[in-house]
Amino acid sequence: MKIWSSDPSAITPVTGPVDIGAYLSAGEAPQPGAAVCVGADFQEGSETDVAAWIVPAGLAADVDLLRRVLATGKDVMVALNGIGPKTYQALVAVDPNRPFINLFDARDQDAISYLEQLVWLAGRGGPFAVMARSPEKLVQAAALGAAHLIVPGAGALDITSIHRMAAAGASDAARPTSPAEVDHLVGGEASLTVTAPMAAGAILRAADLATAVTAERGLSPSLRDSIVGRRLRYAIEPGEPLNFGHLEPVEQS
Amino acid sequence: MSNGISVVIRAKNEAKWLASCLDAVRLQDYEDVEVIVVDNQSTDATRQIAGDFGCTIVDISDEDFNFSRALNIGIAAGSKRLVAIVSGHCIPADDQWLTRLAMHFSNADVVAAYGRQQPLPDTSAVDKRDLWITFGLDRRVQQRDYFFHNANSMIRRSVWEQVPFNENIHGVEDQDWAKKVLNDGLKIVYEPTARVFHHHGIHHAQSEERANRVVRVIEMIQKDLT
Repeated sequence: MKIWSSDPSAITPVTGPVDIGAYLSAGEAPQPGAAVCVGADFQEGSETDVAAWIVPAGLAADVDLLRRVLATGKDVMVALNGIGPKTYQALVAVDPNRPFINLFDARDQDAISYLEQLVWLAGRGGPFAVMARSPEKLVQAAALGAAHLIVPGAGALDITSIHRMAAAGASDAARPTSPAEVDHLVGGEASLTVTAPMAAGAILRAADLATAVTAERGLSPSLRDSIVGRRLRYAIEPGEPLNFGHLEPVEQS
Repeated sequence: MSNGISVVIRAKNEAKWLASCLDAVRLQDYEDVEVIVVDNQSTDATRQIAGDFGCTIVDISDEDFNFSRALNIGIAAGSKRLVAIVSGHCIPADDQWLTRLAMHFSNADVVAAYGRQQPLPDTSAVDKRDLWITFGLDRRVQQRDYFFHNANSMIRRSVWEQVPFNENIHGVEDQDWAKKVLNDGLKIVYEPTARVFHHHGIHHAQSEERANRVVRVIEMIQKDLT
């Protein structure tokens, strides 16, 4: 995920999974590495070092303009505000081999209209972009997997929550667990225990294991198969949660 | 950088407990975990056990050893975003140990978390008493209190890259580090559901020599002399 901002230095924190770059509106001099808004008079070759072009709301129906922008070979975000289905298909047909990125300019949108658009964008399957100033809208877009967030205008912006959304959406992210979620479980979690008193040195058989809600958490019932055959280091009573401390380790290799 | 966890274990002649520790780490309900054992010239089966469990083994000699340096080279050998630190003679109590330390790091203000330490049935009475008194049942969010314990902890790698453990002190490196990183509204969380068993406790029964060394370092930390 990348945030393109008119005021990148005002974004905090800078460390996290979200990259930050400069957004330049139409009329501003293009800068290398920035996402730059094109005007209706855009001509190919006018700037080669930008990272991405943005076709703003109101200009997207100009198929010839889109053709010229796509010809630069850069990423192109197209604001679809006000575009109907037939025009959208005409835009898609400009160069099927170089798909543009669907963008929605969400400034001045009411909450439900915005969410409706956001769900549509996320449902296309490809990368999508949202332009907004509201932190709430930006977080919602990040939560639904926006690839680009465009933040026009100056002013401080705390993107801590956006970092969290991006981290949670990473392909190798563990399922997020919250302290409140865990607190809700205290005293109500099922753990492995034993069906009868067992002495230290005994071998755990499948028939010895039971599941019970114990006052303190023990091993998850999902570990049952991994535990069968283990020798007990300490004695255990029924209803007492079985934990790793009770077990002699299994030998490796 | 991967969203996973580097588990760093300092060990010297930990053959009695290390396999139990590694076995519990292997069965954690968490994906993307790497384990690094920092071995200080063990003469028992410690290295063999670590190798059998597929751990990365990093060596530190007696001449180079101090508690901070052992941690620093172990962490440097890993690559994950979070770093869990556990003693080679501690056994995670259940399969949620890593999850319940890691859950606090969604909050960008949290730089570290540490968990509860519990005695085993045959732990000495002195150590049982001290563990029960020290590690309670309620979660605690610390902004000034720099008590922190690396027998069962987790830190953010990006913070460690800025503030590694202080190699100029011998022990109590956890509290020294915690005091340095607790500023600008940052937090350390004590998480009681992230439990390990620590057979000989945190005070090594009544070792007067160890107590004297710990007190000397803590007095230096209190006076910002580290």
